[in-house]
Amino acid sequence: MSATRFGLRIRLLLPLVAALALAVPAPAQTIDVVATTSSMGVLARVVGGPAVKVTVLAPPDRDAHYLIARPSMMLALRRADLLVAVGADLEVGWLPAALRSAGNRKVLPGQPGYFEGAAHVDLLEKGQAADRSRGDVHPAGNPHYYMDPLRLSGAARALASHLARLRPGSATAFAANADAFAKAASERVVQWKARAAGAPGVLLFHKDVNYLADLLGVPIVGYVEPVPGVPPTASHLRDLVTRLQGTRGVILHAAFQPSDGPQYLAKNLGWPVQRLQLEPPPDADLPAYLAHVERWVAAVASAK
Amino acid sequence: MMAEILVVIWLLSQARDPALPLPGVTSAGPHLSQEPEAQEQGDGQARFNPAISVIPDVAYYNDNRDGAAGALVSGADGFARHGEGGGNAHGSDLERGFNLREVEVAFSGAVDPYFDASAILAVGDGEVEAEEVYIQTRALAPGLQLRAGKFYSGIGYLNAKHSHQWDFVDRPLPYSHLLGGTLGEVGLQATWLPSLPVYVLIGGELLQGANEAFAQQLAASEEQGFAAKGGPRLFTGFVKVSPGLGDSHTLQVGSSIAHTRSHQEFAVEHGDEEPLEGSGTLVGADLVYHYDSGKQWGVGDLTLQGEYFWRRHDLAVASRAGRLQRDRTQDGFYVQGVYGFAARWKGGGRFDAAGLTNQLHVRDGLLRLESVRRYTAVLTFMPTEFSRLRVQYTRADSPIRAVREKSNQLWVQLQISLGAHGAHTF
Repeated sequence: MSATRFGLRIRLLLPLVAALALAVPAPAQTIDVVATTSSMGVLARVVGGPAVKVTVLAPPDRDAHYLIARPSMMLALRRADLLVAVGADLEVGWLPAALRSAGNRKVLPGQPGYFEGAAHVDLLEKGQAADRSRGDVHPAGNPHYYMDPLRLSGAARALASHLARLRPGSATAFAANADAFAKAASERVVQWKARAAGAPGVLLFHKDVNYLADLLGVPIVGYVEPVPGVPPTASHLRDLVTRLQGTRGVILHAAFQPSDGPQYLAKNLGWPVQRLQLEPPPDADLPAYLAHVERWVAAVASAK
Repeated sequence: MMAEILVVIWLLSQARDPALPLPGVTSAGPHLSQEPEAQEQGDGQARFNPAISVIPDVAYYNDNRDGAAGALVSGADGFARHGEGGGNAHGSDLERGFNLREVEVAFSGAVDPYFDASAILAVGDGEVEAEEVYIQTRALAPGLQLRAGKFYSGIGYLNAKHSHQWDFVDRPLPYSHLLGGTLGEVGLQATWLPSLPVYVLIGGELLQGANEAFAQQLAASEEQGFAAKGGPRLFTGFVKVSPGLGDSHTLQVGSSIAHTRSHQEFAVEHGDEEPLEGSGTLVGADLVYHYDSGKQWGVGDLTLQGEYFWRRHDLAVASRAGRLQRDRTQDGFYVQGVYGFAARWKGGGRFDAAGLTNQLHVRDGLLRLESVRRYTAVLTFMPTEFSRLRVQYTRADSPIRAVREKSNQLWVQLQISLGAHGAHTF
């Protein structure tokens, strides 16, 4: 009981500091949301509006597959009212361990405080063989759906009903926020499709931009990684050059992925390379998220 | 050997015991899905199987002392244990050539809404040892967790880590020489993570007390004069603190204490066996710093860590002829660093020592003994997160009856993780 009261006191202190800076009174009792990635942070922030305070666990400039379950994550999960995860085993290397150590029943899988976007999204590459000789495969499906604003807005609708269970009084507001997300996303997607129409193809580093390529109808002509999770080999890069010689396209990779493989391909194929952040900034709102995806759209369209 | 492992796996997979109906787990690890897809009929019970992983540890070993280098280290003055080979559970005494050090078989999952369970069995040398078999509450009260069963104690940093989580082939000297490898006991553990601005984990344990190097209990006998002491005989407490240092830096400092009401052992004095009995106290401090470069495949990642343990045994000869003081004070520490110098490659170094304080009361008075020291270099290649190939070289300098015995040891180790293995904490 005293721990709760102590936690409350801290929770009251934080908005106080924010209020001093912004001169805006903080909402009386916000829902403490922990999002595993920045994209899920956007989701929680957009749907929850002023009712939520969001903490993001994974730094946006890192690969969310390979994080360490750090004490700071456990502390954040310990205090959380709601966990918003990507799911489809993206966080399997660290989130279960962090949850186990946090000792917070509210946010365990199956509880109202646990939300996993992948459970509400039509995933690509579902039901792949669970065979690690094919690399770091995800039998549950490709977890990088957050690159598709339409799919993410579908998850937003699910999150709205989820949040309504925690704060029934705000159910209509959450639903309206999710609808606004879906509307904004679908409007932008129309523009993006026009922009990327006729783009010849993308060569990805990892299977992390597949949803955007799918959304835009642009073919994926190959991957810099020989199999997911394994660094590029010289023979694999040579094979790619042989296979793609004389065609047109663009090489896309995330900022945390090493650029020597993509640069080698760019030099030998004469293709442009685009290196971008895979995740929006940790405090991104809806416009920032859409601007972030738009940078990828521009990169896809750059080979036209 | 393989047949035994398969039998164990088969037996456990056949278990219909209500204590182990664990949730469906995908091959990639614990399933987090909150609303699992409806599955076809027929495999209902099978989907309750726990996450199972098999971790074989195969090593090539050689040394320049005809295979006795391990014994020279474990038998250092003041640390040799009578009646024991001195080797620990993770076999510092390997045969020259190829060795199957052990096969770790791990099962984990949720028992019911209230408990998680974990079982880690070590198969090796024709026997199966339950390294850890415990249940843990899923969330009793915010931040509070209880664990019951056999488990590796939360003291120190490395104590609770299994061999596949180490950065070196073997455990450092403070563990092998002061705790006989690791403190793994049957008992109860409580940990509490209060809601504070920084991470503070407080824990305590009530343990039976059966550690050969620290809290051994031998069969009570009139002849030897050992008293029968019921358990729990061993108590521990620990605290771990980790300040928030941003996304790239993680620092954790810890402090531990363990006290045993009873430790019994035989010492050899001038060819006579002396039954010793008394109490013991161990205190320790640990510090771990990890730098995450953010680059892929561990490039630029750095881990620095060090631990210190101090142990005192207040022992006396257990005989009716009066109390003869045989107390002793010993300590040990290690410092190590591991750096990711290329994609999937890590290189590291370690310095460890035991017996910087090495004082023993014996029949002839107080003995001040020398310390054993080692210098170790390691190189690890990790094709994926599921396999690693490691080469380790160790130069040891160990006092054996006051003569400095130097030795060189070489390991080439292959460790793989087959199946669904749960995530590890920092």
